[in-house]
Amino acid sequence: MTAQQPRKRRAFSRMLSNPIVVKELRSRMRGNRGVVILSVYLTALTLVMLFVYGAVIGTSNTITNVSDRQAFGLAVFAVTYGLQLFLIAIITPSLTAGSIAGERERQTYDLLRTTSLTARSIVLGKLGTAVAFIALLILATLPLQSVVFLIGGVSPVELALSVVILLVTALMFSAFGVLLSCFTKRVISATILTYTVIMFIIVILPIMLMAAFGSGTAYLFSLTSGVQPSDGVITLLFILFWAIVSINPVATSVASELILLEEQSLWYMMFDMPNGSVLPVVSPWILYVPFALILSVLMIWWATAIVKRKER
Amino acid sequence: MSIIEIDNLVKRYGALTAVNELSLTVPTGSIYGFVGPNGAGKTSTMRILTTLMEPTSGDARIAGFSVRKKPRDVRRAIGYMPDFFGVYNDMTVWEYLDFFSACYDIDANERAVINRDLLELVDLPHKRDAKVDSLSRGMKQRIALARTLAHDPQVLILDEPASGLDPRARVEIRELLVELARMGKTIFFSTHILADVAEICTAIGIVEAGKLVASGDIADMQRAIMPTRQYEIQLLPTALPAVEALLSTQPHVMSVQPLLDDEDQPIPKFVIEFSGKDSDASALLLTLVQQGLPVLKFAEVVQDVEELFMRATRGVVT
Repeated sequence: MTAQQPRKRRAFSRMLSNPIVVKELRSRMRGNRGVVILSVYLTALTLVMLFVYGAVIGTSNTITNVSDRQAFGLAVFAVTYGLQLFLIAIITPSLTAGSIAGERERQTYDLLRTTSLTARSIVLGKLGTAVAFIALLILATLPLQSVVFLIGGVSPVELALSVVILLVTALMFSAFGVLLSCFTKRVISATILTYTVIMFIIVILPIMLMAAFGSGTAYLFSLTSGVQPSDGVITLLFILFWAIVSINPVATSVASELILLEEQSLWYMMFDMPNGSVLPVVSPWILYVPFALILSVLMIWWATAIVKRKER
Repeated sequence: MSIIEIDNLVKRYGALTAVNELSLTVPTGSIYGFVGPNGAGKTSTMRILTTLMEPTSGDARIAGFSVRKKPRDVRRAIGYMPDFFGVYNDMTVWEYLDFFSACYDIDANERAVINRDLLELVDLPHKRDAKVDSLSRGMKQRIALARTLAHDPQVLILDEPASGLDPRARVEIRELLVELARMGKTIFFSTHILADVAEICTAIGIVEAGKLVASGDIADMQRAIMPTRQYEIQLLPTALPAVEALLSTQPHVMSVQPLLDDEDQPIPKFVIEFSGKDSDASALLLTLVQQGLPVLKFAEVVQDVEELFMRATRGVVT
C-alpha cells in the first residue's frame, strides 16, 4: 500500500499537469456554467424527493409500521437513483460530444496535433475532466440521498453500490461521447449522435434483446412441447438472460437491488432450476461494472487511434 | 546546410494530384517564400511537413527527422501557423499562450517567463489579459506567431501569414519575420502575395499545379529564369544620336531601348538587355567612358518578383 501511494500521486499530478485538463477545467468552471448545472441537478433531485415524500404523506396520513416506512424510504431512493441515471444520460453527451468535434469546429484541432501533446493526453484529458465533473454531481447528491437513512429501508451498502454503478455508467457514456466526437466535424452532430447511441443502449437495445429472448425461448419451448427442456438448455438460457440484464445499467440496478432485498446478498443469488436444483449466479452489477469498464477502455483506445491518425 | 528537405513528395486525393513529385530544400536560416496561386498544392505540402497529413509517396525531413517516421521529433522542431486562427471562447491572451506552451511540456514557471518575452516580441504586452477573440485580425496573427515560438523551434512553417491583414498589420508581420530570422529561425512560409516575397525572402520556391517550377536563391533564380539582365544607362544630354548605335554594337548587348520623356521626346536614357557577366558589364562601362560619353548612371534594373513569377510559370498551367 505504501509502495503504491507515490505512484498514484504521480498519476494524479500527471493528470493535473495535462494542459487539456487545466484548460477544460478552467473553461468548465469559468463564469457560472458549472455552478448552474450543479444547482439545476440538485434542485431537480430535491424537488423529486419532495414530490415523492409529499405524495406518500398525502395518501396515507400515518406511516406507523416499519415495513411501510422501509417501502417509503426505498421508493424515495429508487426514484432519485433513477432520476440520477436519467440526468447522467442527459448531461454526459453535452459534456463530451464537443470534445474532439469542438476542437475541429474552433479550428484548434490541427494546432493541438502539431504540439508535443500525445493523442492519449488529448483523449484522456477530455474524458477525465468530463468524468470528474459528473463525479462531482454524483458526490454532491450524497448528502441529499442520505436523507433516506432517516426514513429507513435503504442501507449504506445500497447507496455505495448505486454510486459505483452511476460512476461506471458515467465513464461509459463519456467514452461514447468522446469516441463519437472523433467521427464528426460539428459539435451538434456529435451531440445528436451520442444521445441517439445512449438512448439506443439504455432503452431500445434492452427491449429488443428481451423481445428476441422472449420470442426465441417461446419458440424453443413450442418445439419441444410437452418435453421438459434439459438442465443444460435451461442453464444456457438463464445465462443468456443474465447477460442481457448485466449489460444494461437500469436492468442491472433493478436486479442487483432485488437480490439485495430478497436474498440479503450483495454478491450472488440462488436460481431455482425446474428440476429442483439451484444455480448460483452472481449479482448483475459484478458483471456490469467490468463490462462497462472494458467497453470504456476499448472506446478510449479507439478514440486515441483516431486522434493519432494522420489525415489521408 | 538544408533544414527542410522535401524528397519527391506526392499527394493525391482520388484522381486529383495536389502535390506532384515535389522536391526542394530550404537552407538553414533562410526566409523561404513558397509561392504559387491558390490551389497549387502549398497547403497540402505544409500539412505534410507539419505531420498532419500522410503523403501518398515520397518523404520530407525537417532538422533531419522524417515526417513519416519521426513525427514527434518533427513537431518539436517546428512551429506551425495555419492559414486560420484557432480560438477558444473566453480565453485570455495569457491563458492562450500558457495553454499552448504547456502542450510542449514546458514547466509552469518557465512558461510565465517565455510568454512574457513572447508578448514583448510581438509587441502586445498590454493585451495580456484581453480576451483573444476580442483582438483585431492583425493582433491575433501576432499572437498566433507568438504561440508557434514557445518551444523555441528551429523552423517556422507559416501558411499565408499575411493574408487577410490590412497593409499596416502586414508590414508588422513582415518585420517580425525578419526579426525572427535574425534570431536564427528558418522561416518557411507560403503566400500568393508577391510583395511579401520581394521584401523579405532570401530564397523562394515557385509551385504551380503541385509541381515546383523554380526554386533557390532569388538572385540565382533571376539568372536562371532570366538569362539577360537589364541595365539602365543615363547620360548627360549631349551627343545623343551616336549613343544608341554605339551601344548596340557592344558585346553582350542584345537590344537597346531608348526611353522617352513625358512629351515623348527622346532623353539620353537607355535600357539595354545584357547577357554578360558582371565583368562584362564593367568592361562595357569602361568602353563607354573611354569613348568620351558623359555617363551619369549605369545600373542594373532590379527585377521584381512578379516578373520572375510570370516568367517561371509561363505556359505551365493557370
